[in-house]
Amino acid sequence: MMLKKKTLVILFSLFCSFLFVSSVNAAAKSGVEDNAQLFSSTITSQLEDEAQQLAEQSKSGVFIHTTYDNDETAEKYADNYLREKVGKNKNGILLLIDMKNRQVYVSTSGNWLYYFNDSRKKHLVDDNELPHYLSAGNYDQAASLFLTEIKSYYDEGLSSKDYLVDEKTGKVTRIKSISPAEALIAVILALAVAVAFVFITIGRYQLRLGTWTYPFRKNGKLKLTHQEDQLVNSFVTTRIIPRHDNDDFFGSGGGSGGSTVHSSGGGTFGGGGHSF
Amino acid sequence: VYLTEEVFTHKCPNCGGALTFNPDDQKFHCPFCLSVFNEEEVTRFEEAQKKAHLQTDNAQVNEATEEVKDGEDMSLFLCPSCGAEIVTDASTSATYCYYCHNPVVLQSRISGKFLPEKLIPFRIDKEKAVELFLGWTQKKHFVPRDFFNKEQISLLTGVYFPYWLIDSDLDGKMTADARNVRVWVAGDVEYTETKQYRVERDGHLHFDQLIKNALSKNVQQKMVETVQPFDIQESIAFKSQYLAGFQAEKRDIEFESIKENVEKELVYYSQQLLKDSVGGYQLVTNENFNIVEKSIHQHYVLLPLWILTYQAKNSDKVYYFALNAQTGKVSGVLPYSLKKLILVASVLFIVCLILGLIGGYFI
Repeated sequence: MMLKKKTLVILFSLFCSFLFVSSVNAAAKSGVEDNAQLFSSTITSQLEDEAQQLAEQSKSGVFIHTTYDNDETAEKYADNYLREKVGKNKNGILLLIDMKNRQVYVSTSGNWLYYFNDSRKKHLVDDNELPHYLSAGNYDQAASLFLTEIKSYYDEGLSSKDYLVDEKTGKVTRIKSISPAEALIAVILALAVAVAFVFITIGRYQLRLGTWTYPFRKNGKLKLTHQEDQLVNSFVTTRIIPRHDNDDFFGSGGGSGGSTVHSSGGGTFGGGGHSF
Repeated sequence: VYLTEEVFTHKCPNCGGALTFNPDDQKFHCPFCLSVFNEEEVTRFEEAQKKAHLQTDNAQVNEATEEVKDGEDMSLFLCPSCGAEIVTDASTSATYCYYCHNPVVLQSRISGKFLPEKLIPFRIDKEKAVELFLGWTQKKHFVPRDFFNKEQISLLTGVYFPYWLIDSDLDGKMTADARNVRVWVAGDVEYTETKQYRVERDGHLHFDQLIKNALSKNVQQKMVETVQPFDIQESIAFKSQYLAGFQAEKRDIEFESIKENVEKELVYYSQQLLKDSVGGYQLVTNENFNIVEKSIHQHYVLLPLWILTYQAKNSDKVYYFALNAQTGKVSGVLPYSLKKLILVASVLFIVCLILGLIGGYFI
């Protein structure tokens, strides 16, 4: 019996470790490639340090790139750049400042697909946070803001509410994880089953449960002499369904939700851009 | 107090030995001359004997003296075979003489108002009862491992216990409010349609085969109730011959004393059946019942049970088990091994936890 117990414990711990090991382990790389020479020399080294830190923390590649030399769309250029840096579908995030198209573009891949979800993208890129600084020529501040913001996204973490939506096919990929609340519910349910089992068995052995009762449905007969089901009232009520923009359930607070992704050159990328 | 009491033994028409009923072939066997008789043959012989007895001495029915000691539930009889004193409970109606093992039936306790209407004969004999009991114990996985052992069965007695068999007719009326709700969405609007109904049901109800214990010393013994059901279809008109070779008890709970509870029970069953007849609604409220009892009949019946006394190993504790001698169903309070239970519960906990975590992982 002891042996059995040990085997179970080992199996269980193996199972748990399997759940929590992250599937993608890219080498942490980072860099600031300021080809358009927009940043001041002091900020460049500072940005590099910050990017390096975040890269190690998030086990991903964190890049900032500026260019005048781009013949493609900002999206395509950014996705290709990121793939070259980190590899197909590996963890990485890139801020591209495309001076030729006057576009700012954030490309994400791997784990950043989840962290940089649509609502966060909207906040940083679309709601004029970055375009605002860029159009004013404050490139240093824009890059700095980018790193601060994505670091906070990473720190906030993910919840099971996060998911990916494929831009073209609409296919949803959910993030799979066990939140503390889910684990707690599982423990409580399992405990309830085990305790119920013990008490029901004892009850049966003591003849307190599951004993004989007169089968009145089998031994009794009802012959109906009068049967009436009369509709006395019928009415319809209506209600306008309120829109839920953010109905988080467990943990994580704001900023979680879906990320729209697209495929490019075999890899899957997320993110988005805005002109400035 | 001294009473004159008839004590008798059903005797073999061939040799005069004491007959006993054999559950295997449902016939009467003489252990002395090995003759076998059916019920008709024994009755015919005994009636002929009775007629003869009007002229001569009765060889079959002995007059015995019963001594009822004041304040005690004990009675004394004289064995018609060997003359020894037999001590019985006040409710015993068939037993054995301790000395000559002659089966005796106490006539006064199965006659007059104590004459049972019906009985179900024993179908399962002693060997089969032990076998069934041991088979049942094999299925009980949480008893301590060395609890069950054939040698520990210290006493196995076949007993006819007294019961009330009840049937009743009732008239029932039920009224209730019911509703169905349908919800659908069109665009941004959610529509909820509610339909309210008034429900009425009138009908005749009939219940039968409701069996209630009629022996006060069995009230505490849950197992005597829980070996039910008995198949009442198999019952036969009472004949005292069937008691031969078994113990039998006389009722000491009169129907009047349980009638009120039985009626409450019947009203509850009636309400349930009426409720069952209302279907197709999501919600039924304001249920009102009016149940009127039209008639209630009670029948005094004797039902066969094997009672097992079991001495626990390494302990003074005695366990009792009952076995339905018609169907073989076993019942009784069992000891349990907490160690075994907790072990299985732990495994169950881990399995449920893993399933729950897998579920949580994919949600």
